[in-house]
Amino acid sequence: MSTFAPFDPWAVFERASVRWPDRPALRVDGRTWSYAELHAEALKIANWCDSALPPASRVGLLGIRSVTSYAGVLGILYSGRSYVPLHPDHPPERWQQCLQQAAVSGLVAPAEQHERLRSLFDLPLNEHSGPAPGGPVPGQEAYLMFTSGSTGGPKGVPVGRSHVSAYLEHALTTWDIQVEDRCTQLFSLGFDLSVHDLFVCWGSGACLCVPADDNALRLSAYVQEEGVTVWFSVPSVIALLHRMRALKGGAFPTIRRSFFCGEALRWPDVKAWSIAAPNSAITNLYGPTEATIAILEHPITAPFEEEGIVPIGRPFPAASTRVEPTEGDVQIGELWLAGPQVTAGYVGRPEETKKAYVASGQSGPAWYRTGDRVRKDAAGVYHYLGRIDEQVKIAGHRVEPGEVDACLAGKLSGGRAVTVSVERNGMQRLVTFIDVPMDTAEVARYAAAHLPAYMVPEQVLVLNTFPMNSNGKVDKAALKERARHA
Amino acid sequence: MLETEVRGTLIRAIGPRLGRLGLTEADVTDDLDLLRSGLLDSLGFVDLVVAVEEEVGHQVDLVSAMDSPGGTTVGGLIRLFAQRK
Repeated sequence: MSTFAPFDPWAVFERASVRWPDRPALRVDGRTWSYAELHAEALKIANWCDSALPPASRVGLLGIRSVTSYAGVLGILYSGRSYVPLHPDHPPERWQQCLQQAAVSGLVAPAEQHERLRSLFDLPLNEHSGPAPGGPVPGQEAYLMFTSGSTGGPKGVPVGRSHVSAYLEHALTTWDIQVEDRCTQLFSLGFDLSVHDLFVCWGSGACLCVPADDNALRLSAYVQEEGVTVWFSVPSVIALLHRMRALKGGAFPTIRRSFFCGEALRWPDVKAWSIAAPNSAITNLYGPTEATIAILEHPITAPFEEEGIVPIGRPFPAASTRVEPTEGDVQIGELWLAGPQVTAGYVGRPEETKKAYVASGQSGPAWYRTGDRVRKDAAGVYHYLGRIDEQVKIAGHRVEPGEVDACLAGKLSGGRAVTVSVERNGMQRLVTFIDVPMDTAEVARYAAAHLPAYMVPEQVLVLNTFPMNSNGKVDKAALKERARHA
Repeated sequence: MLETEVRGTLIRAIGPRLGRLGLTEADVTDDLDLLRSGLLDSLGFVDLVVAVEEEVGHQVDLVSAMDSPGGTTVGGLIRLFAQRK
């Protein structure tokens, strides 16, 4: 273990499994796996990786909520390889794009999915195997996560084990998660916030509680049944629970620590959450995938404000931040990030890498340009103001409307698609306008077959011509206005 | 009567989405699971229930309904609304 960074993701799990072998590590599919049992499962996957796949390669992982996925993440890391999660609900075409870009050497999935995967891909699939005979290997890359790309198709962000270690060092030395804690695992494994779920929990010796997919609408019952004490979700979940009238006073009495990340957190949602989970401290986290999970934090204390959004807070101690002024005021502008959590670029996308990353040089470190417009106040606290581009968040997922348009262009035989987002019932929804008289259901069906569900427009509307602004471009503000009343 | 009302509202609400799965109104049978079929996500399901509540003029206990088997099927939703007159 001496070659591992102290907060390497495998190393933190390994330490917990040595120290607390009999404590519960994972609750999934109605069964509890102790640290020793999960460790043993991980080593079986690691052994298969070593016997079937090239060293240091990338391994696809179908992110189904089963023990195979969690042991898969651990086993792939143990073997010194990197995992590439596939969201189980995404269309196979999307999987294909991700697997090709990542050049994966094999796939890990529960056995019952193998037949389907064999019909789709010509890749080795995990097989039953004994435990790995060798020791763990400290690889370079931990995972490759895909996010929406504005120029068409998903773009992959390779995240190193050192980046994850830097995150875990802060998380595990600051947030005081205890062995007795029971932590939620609500994020898809294809979303980098799941890395927090897994390794902040396991690094603390706590138990990871994985609700089944169809438990999403009965989270308050799940939390009480499982005695969940640590919550982590996108803020949209609060809006959903609120709309379900599930945020009654004390509905989540067991929760003592809540984290929110992935999109702007509104003060009214904080207020509602604090009533439903009255025993919980609340922390707002901020960070793009390119800067590994989260890199700024804002512990929230009363009194809460009545409206507006919660600050994104201050950077973690090892991180560097700066405001690149876009207006006269030097404290308002684009947020740039640097430090040990900041990654180096996208897989096979030199142009997009060049746009989003500023290489290190005499003027200082390498910076990642977030595209987020922020204000830094006199106390050094950052406040999120919006985007400098058109990216939107749908339930925490980054969506480049241009990617939706580029996808639909393949269906419109010369016509154009322009997608905008509008807020309805406290959530962002996508509406796509097309300028060809087509069956809109057919266009929506095409989108559903090619894009993740959160990128499929809620409505497709036909316009004879798009409204134009004085610069001769499509007037998106006018389209948004139409979408609001559609 | 209530059943017809609920079913009508439900079909109106999910109608635009049926096409994307290649379904028609005839496929909206009692055992169609609105979530598992991929027709709606969690938020869409809650929106649908709220829309039906507004149409029929009373609220239902959505949280406890989720505990019952088949709670997210068409038939499950109709039963949910039928429980309270």
